[in-house]
Amino acid sequence: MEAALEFRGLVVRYGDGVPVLDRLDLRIDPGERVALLGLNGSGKTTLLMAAVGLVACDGIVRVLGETLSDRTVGAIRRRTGMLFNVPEDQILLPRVVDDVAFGPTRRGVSTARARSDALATLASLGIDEAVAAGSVHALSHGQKQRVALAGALVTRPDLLLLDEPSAGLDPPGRTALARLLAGIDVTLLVATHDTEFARRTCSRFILLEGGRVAWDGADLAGITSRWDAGGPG
Amino acid sequence: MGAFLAEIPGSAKGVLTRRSPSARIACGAGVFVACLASPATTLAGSAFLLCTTAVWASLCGLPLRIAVRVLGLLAAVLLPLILLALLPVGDGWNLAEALRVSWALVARGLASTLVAVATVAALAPWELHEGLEALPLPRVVVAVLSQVVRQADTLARETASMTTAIRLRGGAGGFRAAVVVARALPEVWLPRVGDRAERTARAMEMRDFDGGSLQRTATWSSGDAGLAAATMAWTALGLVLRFWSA
Repeated sequence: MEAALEFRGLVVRYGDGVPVLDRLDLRIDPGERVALLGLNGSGKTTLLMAAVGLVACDGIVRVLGETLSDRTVGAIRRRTGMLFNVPEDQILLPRVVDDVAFGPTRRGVSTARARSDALATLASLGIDEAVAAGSVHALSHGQKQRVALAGALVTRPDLLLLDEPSAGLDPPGRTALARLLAGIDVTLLVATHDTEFARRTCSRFILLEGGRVAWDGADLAGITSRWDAGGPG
Repeated sequence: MGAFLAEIPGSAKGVLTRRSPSARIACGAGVFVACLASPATTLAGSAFLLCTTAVWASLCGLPLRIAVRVLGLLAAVLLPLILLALLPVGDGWNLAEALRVSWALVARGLASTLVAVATVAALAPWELHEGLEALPLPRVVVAVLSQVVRQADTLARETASMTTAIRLRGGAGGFRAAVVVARALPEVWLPRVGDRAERTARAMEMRDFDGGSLQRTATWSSGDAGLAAATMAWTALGLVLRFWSA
């Protein structure tokens, strides 16, 4: 079976420094729900960005059956949804509904249909029509997080990369998001520090440490016990 | 200041706001060019500038308080140019000629900026991108212009919250807070702007914001076309005055 996401010998370094990711190997099969855990600076965000060609890297990256290259990167990004760790960065239009509808519009969906899809996706994340018609500047941090996520979900991606999706959400918001993610048919890779959220949304847990996979399994306790013991990861 | 700038877009409610966003942008650009092209050194040219600015601001419905504040800011920036004309420079210095040149700069600056502000005021923030998309411009130009405006807006709001934070943490307000912010610019604010620009560029790439062209479906109504024709005629009149006075 073709992997949904595969890294072979992945090396990413910023400038001439120590590699953030160092000869990392990882395979995620279609439909898997994987949580990526690790301390600050362990390379979680970098790994997500490497998957869609947003950072320069060495090694092989295969996404949804295609090897990442200049030729394939556009097609891969169109089939991948991504939530960045600062939601403001990916909200590119000043009105909420326009921003969420932007993705479908870019894929050739009619404006009316894109708008109705955007409103439906926003509603599923608890953003009502009045908020959707307003300015993004009027949103709270949690609402911005949900709007950015709606922008990633609205195109019904095959692969969803989420960077700290529960950050800034209140407890009901986290619960609603976990439920929503559980209900969609997608391959999921979530970078998070929120172990409770990871437990509710994922069935496989990966710990990044020293630029490599230090733990990979279905038992989250294997990671939390290392953290509780005061170890580095 | 940041809050004032943020309240300009969409504040005008004149008859022009019934026209499509793309027509408003295109005609605003045309009127702006007319202001720059017209001769301000003749009576006819000055009258043309005054008339152009007043009519455009009225059609846009620019709120008087915004017009007054913008004029005040522009006066503070541009009027010293008149004073510069009073300084004798070289043997061939001629006060009347120096004043004529200064006045041309001041008048064109006032008129074109006010026209630009009125046009921005006649566009709700979300109409700018929609309007630019509908114009026959390269997609990368649309993407860059939209993001320059959107990120400038975001940064203006961030600067305002930084000033508030400084006031809360250090008790400095008003001018003192501005000085503290200015001193923090190279070490705090600019790196933050750089980081944000880099992250936004990644998001633009990921979301295909500056990708290939789309099928544009926007069409102009007869009202839009009429406005464009009138603007072109007015701009042509400005050019005729310019060459006539030369």
